[in-house]
Amino acid sequence: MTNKWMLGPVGAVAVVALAAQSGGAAVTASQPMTVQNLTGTLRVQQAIPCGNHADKSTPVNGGRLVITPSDGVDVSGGKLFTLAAGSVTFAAFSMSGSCDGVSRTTNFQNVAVQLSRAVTFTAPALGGGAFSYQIPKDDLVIFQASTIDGSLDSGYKVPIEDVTGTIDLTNATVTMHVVLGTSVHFEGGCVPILGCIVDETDSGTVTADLAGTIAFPDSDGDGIPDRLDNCPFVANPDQSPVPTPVVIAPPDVTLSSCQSHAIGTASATDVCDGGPVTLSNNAPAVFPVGGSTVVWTAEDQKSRVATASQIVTVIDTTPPTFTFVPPAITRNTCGPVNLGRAIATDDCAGTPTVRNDAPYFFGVGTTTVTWTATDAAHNRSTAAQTVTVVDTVPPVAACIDTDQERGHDHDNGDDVFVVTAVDACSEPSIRLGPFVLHEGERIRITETGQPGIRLVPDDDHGHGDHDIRHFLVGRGQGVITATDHAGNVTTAACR
Amino acid sequence: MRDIAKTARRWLMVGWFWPLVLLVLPNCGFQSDASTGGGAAGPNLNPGDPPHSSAVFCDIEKQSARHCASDDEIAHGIRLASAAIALNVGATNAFALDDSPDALGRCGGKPEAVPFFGTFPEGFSVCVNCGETVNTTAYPDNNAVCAAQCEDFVGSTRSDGTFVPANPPDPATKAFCEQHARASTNFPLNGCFDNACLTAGAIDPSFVDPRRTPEPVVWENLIGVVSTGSTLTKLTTTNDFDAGAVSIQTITGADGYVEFTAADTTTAKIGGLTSGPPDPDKDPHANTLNFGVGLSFDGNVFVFENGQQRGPFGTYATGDRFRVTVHDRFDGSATVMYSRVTGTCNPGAPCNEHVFFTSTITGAYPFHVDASLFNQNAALANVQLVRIH
Repeated sequence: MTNKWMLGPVGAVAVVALAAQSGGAAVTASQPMTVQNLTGTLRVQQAIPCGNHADKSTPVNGGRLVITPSDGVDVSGGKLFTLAAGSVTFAAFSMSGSCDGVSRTTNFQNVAVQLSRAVTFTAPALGGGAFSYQIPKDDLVIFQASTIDGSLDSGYKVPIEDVTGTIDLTNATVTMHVVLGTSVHFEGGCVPILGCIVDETDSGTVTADLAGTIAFPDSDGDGIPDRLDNCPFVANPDQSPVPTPVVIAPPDVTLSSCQSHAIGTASATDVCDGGPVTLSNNAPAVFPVGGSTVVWTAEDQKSRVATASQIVTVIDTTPPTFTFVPPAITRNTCGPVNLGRAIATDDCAGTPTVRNDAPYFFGVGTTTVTWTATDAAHNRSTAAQTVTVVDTVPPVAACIDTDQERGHDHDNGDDVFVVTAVDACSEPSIRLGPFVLHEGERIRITETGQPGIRLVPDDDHGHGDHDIRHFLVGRGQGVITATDHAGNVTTAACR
Repeated sequence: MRDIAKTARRWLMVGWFWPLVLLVLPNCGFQSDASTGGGAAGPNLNPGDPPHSSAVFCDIEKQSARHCASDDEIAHGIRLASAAIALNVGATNAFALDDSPDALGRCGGKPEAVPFFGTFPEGFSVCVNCGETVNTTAYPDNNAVCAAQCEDFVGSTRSDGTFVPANPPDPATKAFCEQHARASTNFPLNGCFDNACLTAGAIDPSFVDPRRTPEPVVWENLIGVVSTGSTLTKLTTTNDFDAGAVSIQTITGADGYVEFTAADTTTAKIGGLTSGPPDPDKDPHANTLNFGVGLSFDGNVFVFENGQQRGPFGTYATGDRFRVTVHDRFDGSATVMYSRVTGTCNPGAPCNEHVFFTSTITGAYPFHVDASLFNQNAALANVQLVRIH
């Protein structure tokens, strides 16, 4: 494992399309906008006994609304938003009322409201990136809490009117109008059994008018919201250009073959948006021997392009490849053979030379012919072809009457012959009956009435040709046989 | 009379601003009937005496609201199993997507939308006096707090808009809430986020949820290494993958990831996840590390799975961050993905994450963080974990 680790880059690509993936795409589609810097008022209007009214406004102290997704979801007629969370605080205030000359002041502190149920609503478009909305009152529940004269008071309220407002994505503002109802039962001047002088229930409203600015998602936290940021994933508060995509070419590489593409893979990232990046290179199908520059090009989904270079050096150590070697050949006799032609190609430019070591003459048996292909870099490869000779052809033999050649015609059954026998594969043996003759030997044959073949002892019988062996043969038995090494036999009559 | 009324206000859902003007008349008084109605017993959740400045975050599902998700919901929803990652990147919505096999079966292969009363995955904030509420006889843990809050979402609305929870809740509501209200993602079962709420009991608008921040890895079974915080550095001089450690934390289910930073480009190190609990894992060698990102000493990025090398996947620079993420397959196994994080990465915001390889093999829960270091001083820096725990 350690050894494998030591290896450098592996793998090969000529043109690669890489799809960069942003992790958690589903969750990032739910990035909310935060409505902050809230301003506005909370106005309390309450009827009280003696026909009086209390009316008090207090400013918003702080808070935030969370609306998701940040750009809404496009739906028919507008955008779909979810008011996911909200918490608003108001400045402390006091309210006074009087009846029949008696007055009372109540102090409200820690006044806060909190959204208790997330609500999804459709906001019709107003144009210019602004949307209005009207949330049915029964869809909202608000938790309200405050300290009244030092005592906690809290509870849940459903608005008595639909909640209305606007979301302006262009100007990054949100408004909201909420009206809650109140109902207070007053009693006063109560006397047991007789009842109370004041015994009434009075209604009122609490109206909140809110306005705030949208803080759109700012992934890199540089103060520029993603929707306006020229590079949302890299902090660049001055919006200085950020090179993207970033492409890193694989390390320079040396190849042993012009056709190798083990040049590695570049990596590319859309550092600004995290979108997919298409990666390609201009590597040729066949590299030339020596050094070449490969340019890797990365293009992101906004058509931004970046390049990086890699030096690819080919030192050709790859031998040629035979694409055709003639098939094995079988012949029935010896001699030259037409082998055919082997063909070889090379991984680099140029045609390799192809030669073989075939003999001119193929004898009996199997001969291996070695073909050798050599490229320009002197890399060699070899291939084999066999030639097999199985000798089935008999020798060619002749027994030639020399007298007839000279035009003599003794016709006395006593002639001198020259015996010959040739074979393509071997020197055949020549026999006359049991006697071995030599190639080109002159013999005298005298036909007798006695069957069989006999050698006349050293006797020239007056012929004066002591170097010629003289055979006495039966009638028709003057026939020589020639036999080659493969046992093929042929005969020739001496007459 | 006022004392009675104050007591009543505490326990009866009297509504807000009704005692706006209290007239002091002879034998004066006021009644809360206009708001609460006779017989109302107040909310089911008792947050304790003020201040209610601590928060418990609850996932409280809306009753009878599950439905097969629409395409828009699928596009913008957050998987239940992705809750921890969604917390980390600040994603939020009013519903979650249940893509478990059961849910997919009910919806013809599509996920089921699960609406919540609050936001998912943060949860609905319940403001309480922690010491008087959580881990008490009434509320043994935060699941009980959340169930009580769930019960308070069912009730009736008076003509003036005052919402009055049904108390006691009907049996169906009680049973539903016991089943479908619980402490939200990564919120402690016994404890609170103190000062997350205003004194009166509403969430503080300036509260920043600490659950957004990834969890530093705590190392154990250190062999040939030293840990400085969550950073692990090899001490020994051998050039072999014979030093490492494992985390005490595990990913027991759902989606999660481990992330580390390359401290240099001249040493070799592998960081990732291995199946099984951490305790038996005392073998620092790389071939026992199931799913790791390997950074070579010549600057290349690899994937190592049980000793098998894949890649390279480009080069790396000092400061680059790499993640190994598990994606729950709901059969006890997870799909494993390897990614590089580029650019600025802030808690509560998405990061620019480039997945460069998805494993062809699956891993089995639980997973623990595993590290194997080659050269002396090779380091995995700032190793962090995001998981549901």
